[in-house]
Amino acid sequence: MTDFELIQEILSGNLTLFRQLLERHQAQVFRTCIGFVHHKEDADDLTQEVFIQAYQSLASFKGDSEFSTWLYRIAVNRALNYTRERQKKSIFDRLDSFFTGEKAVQSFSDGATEENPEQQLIHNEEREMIAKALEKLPEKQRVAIVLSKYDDMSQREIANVLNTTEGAVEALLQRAKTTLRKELLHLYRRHKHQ
Amino acid sequence: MNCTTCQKHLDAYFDGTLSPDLKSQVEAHLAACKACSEWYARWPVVEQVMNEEKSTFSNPFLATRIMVQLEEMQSKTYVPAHVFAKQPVFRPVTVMFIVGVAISLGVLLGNLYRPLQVHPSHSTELLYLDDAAIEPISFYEAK
Ligand SMILES: [Zn+2]
Repeated sequence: MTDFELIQEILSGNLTLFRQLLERHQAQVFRTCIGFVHHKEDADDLTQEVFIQAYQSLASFKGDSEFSTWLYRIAVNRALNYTRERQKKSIFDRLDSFFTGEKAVQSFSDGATEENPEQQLIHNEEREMIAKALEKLPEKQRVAIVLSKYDDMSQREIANVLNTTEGAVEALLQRAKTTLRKELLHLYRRHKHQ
Repeated sequence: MNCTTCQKHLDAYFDGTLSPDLKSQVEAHLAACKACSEWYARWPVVEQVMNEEKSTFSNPFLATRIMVQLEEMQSKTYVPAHVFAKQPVFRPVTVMFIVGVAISLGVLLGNLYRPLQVHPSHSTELLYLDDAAIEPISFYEAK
């Protein structure tokens, strides 16, 4: 069954078929999510939210684009909302940790790699800086780089998701890399001076 | 070659798809520019970190979790958990509301209290008489 046929079946009341749709696209959505949140459990939660929303608005999918493109759009919107919320929340967390003495640090490495501890340690700092730099990118640039690097999408596919032209995506990616470079070099330098 | 042009060609440089002319220009710039050479050294690490994150797998029970939530939503008793869990403001607001209600209820109940009014014709001592302890007058009228 194609995605579209599956969706017709689900809409006519066969909920169990949604599982097939899930299994086809779950990995893809998860990769997008982790590209935005850099944390496994958070990416799981976000993936769940994306599919729940997809199910709730399934009737609005008319099939004039690929289902995966439609799903990517939901994932991108959800992920951006999520990171906006988190940025707001992190201000409170910092205040909170100031009073409780707790460290409000997000883990970027949960179960991601199995290396020796020393390597892991260097890696975690590196990871944290990279995640931080990615999070500082303006939203459009961030979306372009996540779709390109985490989902291996071509510029044409990204342009489809973002409803823009290939040229615009190319420019966006170029700018994203420049911003990322500036931000990372800045973080590296600050790190070295600590 | 300036930094922007150098950056632009770095991807191709890594892939080894740059023309020999551009390649030597990029190399000349890298040798002369500290920022670009630092970036050149760092970029593979960035790519590696992204690749590692990308090859993480979701929780094997995630699909089941989602299906369970959807089934719960279909049966009408469903209350979305995120209404309570995902709104950090919700809990403090609720707590403040409950505290507010409790305080105003206390004030209201307190104001309803009136001290017992004793009719001026009775002395206050009369109030302490225990009626049950008074012996019936007939007791003394025996025989
Ligand atoms: Zn340079």
